[in-house]
Amino acid sequence: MNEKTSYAYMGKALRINLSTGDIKTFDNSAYFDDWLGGSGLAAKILYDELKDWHTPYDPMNKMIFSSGALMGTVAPGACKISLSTLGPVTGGWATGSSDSHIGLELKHAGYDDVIVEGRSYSPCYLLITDDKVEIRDAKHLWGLTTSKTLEALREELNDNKLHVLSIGPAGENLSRNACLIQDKNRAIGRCGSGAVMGSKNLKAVVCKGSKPVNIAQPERFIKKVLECRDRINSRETTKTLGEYGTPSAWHHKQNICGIPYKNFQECRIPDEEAKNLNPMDIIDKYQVTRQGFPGCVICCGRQVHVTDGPYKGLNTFMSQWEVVGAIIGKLGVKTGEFMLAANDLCNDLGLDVDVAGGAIGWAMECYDRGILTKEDTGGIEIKWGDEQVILKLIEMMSYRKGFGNLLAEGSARAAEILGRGSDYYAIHVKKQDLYELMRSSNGWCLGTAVSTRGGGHTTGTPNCEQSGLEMDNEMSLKILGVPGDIAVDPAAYEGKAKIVYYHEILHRACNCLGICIFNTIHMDMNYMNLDDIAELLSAATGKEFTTDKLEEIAMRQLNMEKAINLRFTDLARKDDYPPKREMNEAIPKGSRKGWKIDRDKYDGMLDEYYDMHGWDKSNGYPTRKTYEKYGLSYVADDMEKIGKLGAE
Amino acid sequence: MDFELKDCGGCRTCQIACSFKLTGQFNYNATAIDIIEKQDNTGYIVRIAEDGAYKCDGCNGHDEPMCIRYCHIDKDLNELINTFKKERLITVGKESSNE
Repeated sequence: MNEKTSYAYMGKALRINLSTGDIKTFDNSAYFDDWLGGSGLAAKILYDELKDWHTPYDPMNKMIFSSGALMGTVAPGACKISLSTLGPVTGGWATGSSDSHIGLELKHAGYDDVIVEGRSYSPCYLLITDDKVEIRDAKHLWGLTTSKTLEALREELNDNKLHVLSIGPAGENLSRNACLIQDKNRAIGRCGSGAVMGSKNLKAVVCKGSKPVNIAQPERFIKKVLECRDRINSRETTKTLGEYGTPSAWHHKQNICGIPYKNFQECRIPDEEAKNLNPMDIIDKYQVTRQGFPGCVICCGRQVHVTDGPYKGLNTFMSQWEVVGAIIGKLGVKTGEFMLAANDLCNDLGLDVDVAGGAIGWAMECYDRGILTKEDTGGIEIKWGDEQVILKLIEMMSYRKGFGNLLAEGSARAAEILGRGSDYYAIHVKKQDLYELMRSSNGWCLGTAVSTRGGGHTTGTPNCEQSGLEMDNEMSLKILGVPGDIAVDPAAYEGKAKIVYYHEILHRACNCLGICIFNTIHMDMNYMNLDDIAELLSAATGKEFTTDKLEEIAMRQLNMEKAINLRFTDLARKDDYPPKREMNEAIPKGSRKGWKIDRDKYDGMLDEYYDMHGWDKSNGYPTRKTYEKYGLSYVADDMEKIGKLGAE
Repeated sequence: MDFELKDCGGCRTCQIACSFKLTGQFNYNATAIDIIEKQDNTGYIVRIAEDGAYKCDGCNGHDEPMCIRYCHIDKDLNELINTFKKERLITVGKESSNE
């Protein structure tokens, strides 16, 4: 054991400069108490070290990978590696996380975080093996898909148990929605972080570690872990999620009009088409075995082998829910198995499947309406549900070939470039393409709209309206501060700002500590809440944390994320709204036919949300008082200089 | 001793738990149970160590082996551990008592 034992955290981070080849370690403990490490540490470092003139593809941009304090232990869901950077989708704060084995390996190698900066002269990869850290040549890997990269690195390093985080051709070619893939199928998605990695000529990160993770109070820690595990295991939700993963939401999402159909024109898949698209049928038919990650109580992943139909022979991983929304519904696909084929291709090319359907859906609707023609597309007919065309466009986006070069920009930028009134059909928040249908659930809508990373539902969006689970009134009041019937009512506007606020803390705590939100009340109110996480962290670190303390830390991080966006983008209140179509159009069919977001009530909800945070309601900017509350007076000074300090 | 465990998802939580029982620290390299990804097929093999620095003693003295406590297919793993105990641990126990 080291002379100084660090509990839960390893107490050390790596800083690697790809331009100079410098590799240094530093004591990162200054970032624990106020930032929780992880994405909190990343927000602080990105804000402090980036200059105003830096852009996402500038060599001086930093990619900050983090394992998390609870990673490596048996805490429920302690398997998430996070990555934060300045991203090319919004131009500002970018963060994502992924279930992983490589996060565990990074931690066992002795590091909580890796900061990668600079740009390598030629393609390279990082090999981190305990104290030995190397920048290695990757010219022979450049151009390979993610699965081939994994295969090549395992062979080259003679270790078939290695875990690899890599980019595919999409990242290499700076496709704006490129992601990172862990091994073959788990992505750090959204925000275009894969393109930042490509801009650095960094093909892959490989970690292998052997150092133990220590915790301060083992008995107290294990007691809490087992209590949480037993509670999670006792729930029917766990059986359902364990059996089918997130695709188990299928029937409920159809019922509440929560699936985008044909680029969000409709909010559920027509029954006649839906018969062939139930993702649970796909699992029943093709499942070979399961796929889980360290600490997870649920084990929501699946490996599948397709034995018939047009995709016969495909050996791959079952997609999670998002592919049903982003590809199947959004693009009007009629073959269920296609969710596997599209997911597999996106993962292999390193294109984020969550957002691949964004630009394609926009193009399909524009083509349908005559805004785009074959002259624009290089002769390709882009018709709803054409599976071969979708696969072709995914490839063209990844390689930025032909018409794919436009789509690789994402729907918002593609519409800006094309013009012709096509921006109405670009369904995005802060230029981030969406599969989250927003107009049918108000809390889900608010959380997704205000997300600092631009869209997405994992940085503050509540799931309780979407889960279909009943909410115990007392429990809801105690935890969320809102009556249960209001919390689960998708049409209610009251109380939703408060629920989003709670989830902003919950999601940040999880993302910092390496916890998968599926093991928390994000999925079921009986799963882990902030009190549970505070107790686990207290026992693991030997320092006392409470929900109030986690709130303070998460809000410090959130205000820093806002400050990053204010420095590097023009994001403001105007960008905290759902896409135009979601705001303007009523739900056309289904159980909630005729439902439409009420602009005044949405504004009221947003005002309440800003008030809770101490942000100026006119523009969404944090005030000096708010920054100072979290010890960020120097940030307030900076904001004042650029004219972006909120009025008290 | 190697076993097939059809529904194992390869999460390796059993390894982490086992290492904690054996060493008081979390380190899935220091474990008596190893989950090995099949190279020529889909799925995982469960390997239980009979010798070496970290060998399985069936969590003697505990109500339930640690690996089972943390497994989401605990019934299947329990069956496997019981087989291991019956077939191998008696011998291991004899060897240990002779030392």
